[in-house]
Amino acid sequence: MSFYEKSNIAMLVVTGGTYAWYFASSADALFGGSVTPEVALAMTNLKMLVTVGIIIAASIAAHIAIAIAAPSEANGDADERDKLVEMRGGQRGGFVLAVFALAAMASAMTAQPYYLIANLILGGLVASELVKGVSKLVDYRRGV
Amino acid sequence: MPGFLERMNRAVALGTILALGWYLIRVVPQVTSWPLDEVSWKGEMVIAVVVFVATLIADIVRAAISNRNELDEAGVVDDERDHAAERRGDAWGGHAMHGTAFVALMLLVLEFDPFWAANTLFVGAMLAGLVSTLVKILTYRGSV
Repeated sequence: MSFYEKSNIAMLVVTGGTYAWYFASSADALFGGSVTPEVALAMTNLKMLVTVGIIIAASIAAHIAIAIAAPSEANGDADERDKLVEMRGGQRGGFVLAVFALAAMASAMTAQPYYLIANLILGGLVASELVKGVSKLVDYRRGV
Repeated sequence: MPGFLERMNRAVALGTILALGWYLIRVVPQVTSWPLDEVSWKGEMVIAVVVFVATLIADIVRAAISNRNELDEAGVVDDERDHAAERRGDAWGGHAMHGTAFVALMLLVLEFDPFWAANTLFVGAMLAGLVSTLVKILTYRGSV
């Protein structure tokens, strides 16, 4: 398993885990109507910042661990296969993000609360990264 | 002599520029002279999106209904170069779309009017589509 493949798995786990927590813990505020829109926006804004911090810290730690486990692989450049897998993943993730962006535009047009539009965009970014990660994982395993 | 898919990409680029240009000509003068509440943009955005999507669908239908001989004569080739151009262009467009979504998310987090988020997403998505198409054309020309 190459450095880039391990890195992809690490990012998939970190992103999936972090945003699973984010959306699970924010679901009530987002869809339950338990708090006012202003409180929901402030709450999700704070959590978004926390998730960014978690992802940066966890990805640095994961990449250091991967590099320590196999130092020779960490210095290698991405080969043609890595680049192809990356492009295919980016292509698929981009389509998913475009669909969410269209939904967010429609939400803004219909005057939905700020926090719903913001979380729709965030959901799109996360879904896009997850689709990209899964696509890369499948391509690495099955071959391209 | 450009191939069928390359010409199709050029047509999509032209459709994008026309739809985006028309929208900006209609909306930007209003933004600079009237309050946001009085700016008419939702209808224009829907029309621009519909025109853009119709252009895409027309191109796809045109490609789909052509029989194999016509496609061969027109230079349609499902070869590696087409795949590489598609993947590279879509991946670049995906990166541009990620940047756009992130900016729109920040605007909402900072509580700018949803008008700005919707327009950032719309203009950004059109530009991302344009980036994608231009990268495909450049790949065909051998510049990328």
